[in-house]
Amino acid sequence: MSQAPGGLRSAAKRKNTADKKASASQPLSTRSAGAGGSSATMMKLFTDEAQGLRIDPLIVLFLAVGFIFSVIVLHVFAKLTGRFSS
Amino acid sequence: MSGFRLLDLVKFLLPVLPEIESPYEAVTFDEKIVITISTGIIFLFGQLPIYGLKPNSSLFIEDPFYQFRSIFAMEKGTLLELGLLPVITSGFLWQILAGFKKIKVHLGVRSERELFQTGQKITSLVISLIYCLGLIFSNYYGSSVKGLNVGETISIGSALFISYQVLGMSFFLTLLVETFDKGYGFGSGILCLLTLQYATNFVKDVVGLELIPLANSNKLENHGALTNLIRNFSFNPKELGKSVLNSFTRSELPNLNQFYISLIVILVAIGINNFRIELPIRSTKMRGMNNIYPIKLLYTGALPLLFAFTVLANIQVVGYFLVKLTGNAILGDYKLVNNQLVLSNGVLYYLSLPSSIYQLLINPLRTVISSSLVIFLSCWFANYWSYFSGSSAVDIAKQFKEQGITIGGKRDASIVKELGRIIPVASVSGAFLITSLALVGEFLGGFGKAVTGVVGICSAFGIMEEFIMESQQNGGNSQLMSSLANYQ
Repeated sequence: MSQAPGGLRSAAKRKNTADKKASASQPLSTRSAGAGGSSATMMKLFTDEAQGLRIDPLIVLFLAVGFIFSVIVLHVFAKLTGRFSS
Repeated sequence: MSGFRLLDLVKFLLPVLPEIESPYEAVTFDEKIVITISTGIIFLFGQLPIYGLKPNSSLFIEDPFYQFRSIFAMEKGTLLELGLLPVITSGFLWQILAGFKKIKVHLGVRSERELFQTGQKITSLVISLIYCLGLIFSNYYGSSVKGLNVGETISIGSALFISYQVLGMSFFLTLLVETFDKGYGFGSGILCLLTLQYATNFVKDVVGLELIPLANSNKLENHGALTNLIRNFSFNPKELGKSVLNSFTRSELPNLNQFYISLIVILVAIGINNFRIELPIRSTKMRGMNNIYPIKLLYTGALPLLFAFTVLANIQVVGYFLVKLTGNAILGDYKLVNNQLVLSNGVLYYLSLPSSIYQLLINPLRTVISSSLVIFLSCWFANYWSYFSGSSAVDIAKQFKEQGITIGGKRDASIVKELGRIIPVASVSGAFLITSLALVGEFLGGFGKAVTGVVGICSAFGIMEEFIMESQQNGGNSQLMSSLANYQ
């Protein structure tokens, strides 16, 4: 077995400092990792495209309109049934 | 990798959560405008009243959150009941935890970043679920549900309908925020929607035309403060004083007092926004390329203020649920004043801001505790946010090096030192100034409008900056810009 120069203790020390350096250089945020995200004045949550159920933004907009429309329909039905029953 | 990680939990939900596609090619300027505007319109449609409540339910709901309504776009008795609170809370939570390395996440790796962002989305949805259940079980809607007598709890049917609407809107709001963040719109989703909400409400509060029947009286009053003043204006000197005073001080609907406070706070915020230090920079590669690099006093914008109020609002919301569910009077004691549930004692009382000069003077201890908490939170956040958001002195020095820029008269090694002397001081003192400004506005009776005004203006400047940069870079191909140019 080849001994590390400076003995085992110094090898452990070396490893420690290397680990520390590695963890210190790890990015603290998505922006410092170079992927966009929150900047100093702008708070952003979503940066990357995950592997989930991918949809186009236009579809989201249409779905949101659909949701709001469903609430409007509820209101309209309430108005209509209220008028006929009472 | 050993040990349990929070991110591993996220993996299970990854395949079922909808995810906005990142744009394949750069989104054009026109597309951005169209998507920003349509998203904004959909967001504003969230002000539809909830089905199942009485008409004008906002007058019946006993409202414990009146101080936070405008900051988080929590509109009373509408689909936006929770507003942006869940999204903002989860964003701050994850990003600060990652910043302090309390959760194990290697943000340099792409797959980890994906899990990280999905984690934020799930947290936002979970928080809205919890808060929605809290609203229903604490009988928040008790006094406003249609066909319900005072003191009864709501039926399962109407609880389901209400949670469908509130949760549905929260879900779509998260997706709309994602649309912005992925680069389809201008600025960040949260701040853009918040600013939009504030701007429309500001106009509505001043010149809103709709007539609203006041609770416990047979009078109708206009929503807008100015409209109300004009409508009730009479030349009878006795009546005149009363109606003018009323339009300045009424508490059920927006009053002129709030309008003037917001206006002053906005103007001061614009003033503070302009302070900056300009560092002379020059290129290391070319001779004679001199420029300036501005470091704003509000280095972290209004985010510290938003953070402080996010913490405060979450404490109050959870506290309200706990008080209602357990009936614990030590935690908080609510009193009904003009359909607002005002805290009168307990722990929560000392963690809430006084909303008038009278309240400020009547209990100085509360004033000191709550305002120093807000200022502490915002300064603490400002101190760390530059590190967390990749805009600390070290990060900027690295950018300088990559772009071949140096500060005039400084060596590479001392750039970090020079920036490190300025950035933390600027961000903390900027946060302190802007928080104090907002607090003064609150103490004078802003009911959250002062804070929102500050946050809104600072975000609007950020969004404007992005808009103008974008229009200068590829505005030439824009049909909108060219059609505008024809009118000049």
